[in-house]
Amino acid sequence: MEKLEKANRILTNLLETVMVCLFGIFLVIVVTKVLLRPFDTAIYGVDELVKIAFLTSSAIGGAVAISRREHIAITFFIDILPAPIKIGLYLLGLLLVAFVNAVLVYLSIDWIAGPGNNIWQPFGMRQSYVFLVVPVACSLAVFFCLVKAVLTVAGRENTDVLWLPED
Amino acid sequence: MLILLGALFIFLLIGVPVAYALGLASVAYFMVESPAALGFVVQRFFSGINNYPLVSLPFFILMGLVMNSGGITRRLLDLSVFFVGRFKGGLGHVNVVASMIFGGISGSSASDTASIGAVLIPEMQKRGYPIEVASGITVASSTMGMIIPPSVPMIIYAIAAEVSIGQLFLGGIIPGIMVGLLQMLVIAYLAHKRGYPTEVVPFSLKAAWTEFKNSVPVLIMPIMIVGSVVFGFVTPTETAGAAVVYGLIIGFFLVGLATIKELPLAMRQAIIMSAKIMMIIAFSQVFITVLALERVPNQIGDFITGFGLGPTGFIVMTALLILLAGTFIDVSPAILLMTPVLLPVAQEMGISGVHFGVVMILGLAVGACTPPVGNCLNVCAAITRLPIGKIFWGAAPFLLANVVVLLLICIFPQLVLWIPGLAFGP
Repeated sequence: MEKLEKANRILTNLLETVMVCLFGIFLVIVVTKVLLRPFDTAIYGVDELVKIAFLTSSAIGGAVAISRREHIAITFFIDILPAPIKIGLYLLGLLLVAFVNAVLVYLSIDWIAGPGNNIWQPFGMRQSYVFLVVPVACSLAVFFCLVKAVLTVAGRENTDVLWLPED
Repeated sequence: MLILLGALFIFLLIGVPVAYALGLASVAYFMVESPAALGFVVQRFFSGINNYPLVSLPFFILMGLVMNSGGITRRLLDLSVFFVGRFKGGLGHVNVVASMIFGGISGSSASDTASIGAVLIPEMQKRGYPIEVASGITVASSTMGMIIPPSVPMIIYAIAAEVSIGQLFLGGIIPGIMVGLLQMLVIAYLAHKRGYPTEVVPFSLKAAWTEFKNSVPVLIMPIMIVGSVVFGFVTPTETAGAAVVYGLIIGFFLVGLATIKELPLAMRQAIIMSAKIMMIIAFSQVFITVLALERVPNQIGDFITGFGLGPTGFIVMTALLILLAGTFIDVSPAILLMTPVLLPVAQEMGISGVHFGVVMILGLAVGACTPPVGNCLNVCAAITRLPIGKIFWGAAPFLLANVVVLLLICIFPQLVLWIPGLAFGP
């Protein structure tokens, strides 16, 4: 169980670092674009690059938010239930989240094989390279859901606050 | 439609995160009604996050976090004390005015509650204000963070409703100022009735100039943001990116190196906050597709037309519904859930998307201060250790000001549309 906790922690931290780096990249690109405005200079394809970095960080962020239990949920009703029912519904919720992510992974296979062969302009690469973000991020989400469920059953997760409220 | 709405209701009730509840309900719909079209889910999901204007979201959140440092809050409070502290109930007025200014730089009510509340609530307590009143004023005045531009909920609404961010920003100015002024009126009344103190602030033109000069770098930020978005010098995404850098420069000069040191943590917070909203946006795209397939907005439109309500009647009813929904649902999911259902009906009745958006955000801002799901209440409870019920009752007289303004903007759309009309034309 300790190994699982450690793996979960390391993977979450690693993904957060990737997200912050991607965020830094698209922040620098956007600011550079603003600074170049007075010189009437445009960099070819930057908007697409920013979009790809942003959607990658968002998709990964969706998975990380499961690990950190930061997704927005209405927990008012289950918070007033007795603890065993509350934990049971939380586990059910995690399994449902894993299910919908697994469905997306499954559906991605045909999607990548089909429309994924189109070219992503202006880079001239296959769209499938960008589309891959969806199955990768959803697989991570499934992993985090299952890890959270196992750790909760093993009593190694604090269940006082199930999902943090929106900031 | 029953499968869709029933499933969504059950998933939300059992605490499934809003984003995934939308996804599950949509998948359940496709599995039962149209299995051949299931592949549509992943396409719509992807198109939901593949949207350039949405890049502004983490930037605006990061800007708020960067500007949320102690040094900047202190300057705004000093400025507010100098100008309104001398009135009866001075610190109450200071709380409202500081929130009005802070709303223009943070774009978020929760961060407004946290930064102003942490400094002002203990100070107000020392000056004889009951703690629930001090907390109540802080919470209620923080609603202006959502209404006065720039505002993160407005950006989310603008993207969901496909309306101009600039027009929405301008549309929030008059209602935001009205809320502030009405809340100050309530404070003045209570101060006279209960004898709240006045702050001793000697006035001189030199001192006024010094206070103003100290705060200028912060005060011009909202003007620059709104101005550049409205007049189209740069896109909202570029404005937000530049605002982050400007915030970092100000922070560096006012607070020092701490601003730069805390940047990675703030970036992590901003990108996670934006990612969880993005997940809701992505799955809501799938959900909207199902709503359109089932012609839900048309059915609701027909249902409402049956009552013979005019546009004003409809928007007042909608405002009441938003107030009710806001008590149970957080702001971003509420915007993303209700906009695709109600906006088409509103537009059918001739109500502008900008007017509808400001009504929605003002209504949801009140919801953020009402139990059981009130983020500003939770933040304030963490600062004061008071139960949220007590804080809510402290905030109630001031929130009434918000409700009055909400009803006024429902009845008189020009309060919202006048400034956007001046800038963009009718």
